[in-house]
Amino acid sequence: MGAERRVRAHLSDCPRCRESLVELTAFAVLLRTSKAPAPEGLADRVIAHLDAAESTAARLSVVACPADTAASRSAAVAAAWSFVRGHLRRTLVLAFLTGLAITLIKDLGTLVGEGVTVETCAVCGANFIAAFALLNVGLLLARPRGRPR
Amino acid sequence: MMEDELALVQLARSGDRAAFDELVRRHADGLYAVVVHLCSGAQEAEEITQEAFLRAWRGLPGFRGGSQFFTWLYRIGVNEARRRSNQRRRGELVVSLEEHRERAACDRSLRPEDRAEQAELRCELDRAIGCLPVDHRAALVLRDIEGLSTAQAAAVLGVREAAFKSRLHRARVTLREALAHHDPQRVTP
Repeated sequence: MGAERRVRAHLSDCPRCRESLVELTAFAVLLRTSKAPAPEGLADRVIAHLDAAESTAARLSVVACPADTAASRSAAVAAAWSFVRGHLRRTLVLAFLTGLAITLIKDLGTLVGEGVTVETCAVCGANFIAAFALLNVGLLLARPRGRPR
Repeated sequence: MMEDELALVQLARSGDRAAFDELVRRHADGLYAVVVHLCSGAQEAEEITQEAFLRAWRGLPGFRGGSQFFTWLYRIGVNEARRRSNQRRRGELVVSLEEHRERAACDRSLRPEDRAEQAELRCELDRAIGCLPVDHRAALVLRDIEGLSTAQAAAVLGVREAAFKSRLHRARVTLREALAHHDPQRVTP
């Protein structure tokens, strides 16, 4: 209270501070009156939104129960397909590199000496195909248990 | 009123939708009034209000009652508005000058030239508020526009009172500088 009395006493003697106080009060009033009115029926729309969200959640949970069979089957198919894609991507790269290495080591002399003929192309192509087949068999046999088929 | 609200919150926590609907009726307008200053317009403010109530309903079992329900709710709304605001360019115009002119034109107690000046001042005020950093803006809106106490507003923003006062002070200074060439006393409530 003492502080308030001192401020009041100062204000009565100081026109500059009085003027600042008036300005600040007007500023506060200006802000207080800037309150935005809410649109009509907002609460009802919020409640309707909650109802809609709840009924969607309920529908999803009902669908999710029998989905144990259908959904799990489709999930298993998706997982298997994703595994096969990843596997093929890996083996294609490895088969290309292995085939290239075998061709360079084994058939480079033939290619340089005889040129590119149907026969040399078939021999070189067989290098890549054999590498691809062997890698697939090898990687599938080495696949850890529990991975999707 | 407070005990009444506490009882409603307890009922809503146990899954009573009717009790929660009553809380929606009590606080929807207030929450909207806060978030409308923190986002890009009326439509987004309504979306944020709906989203905040949905999250509150889903998160109510985790509400321990350490704070008042409305400060917890406002916090959800302010955080959502802040998240959206961070994804957007700062300083987008919140309310158009035309809208302010329409509002001022409805006030028949003013002379036409005063109406125009009032519309311009309010528009400039909204623009200046919209240009504040979102944390400063939230402090100003909660304390000076919505009239929450310092403790309540600090609780909404999840900061200590000292930090809140500092934000509020900076927001007020920036705003006064932005409106320095206007006379706020000319504005009627």
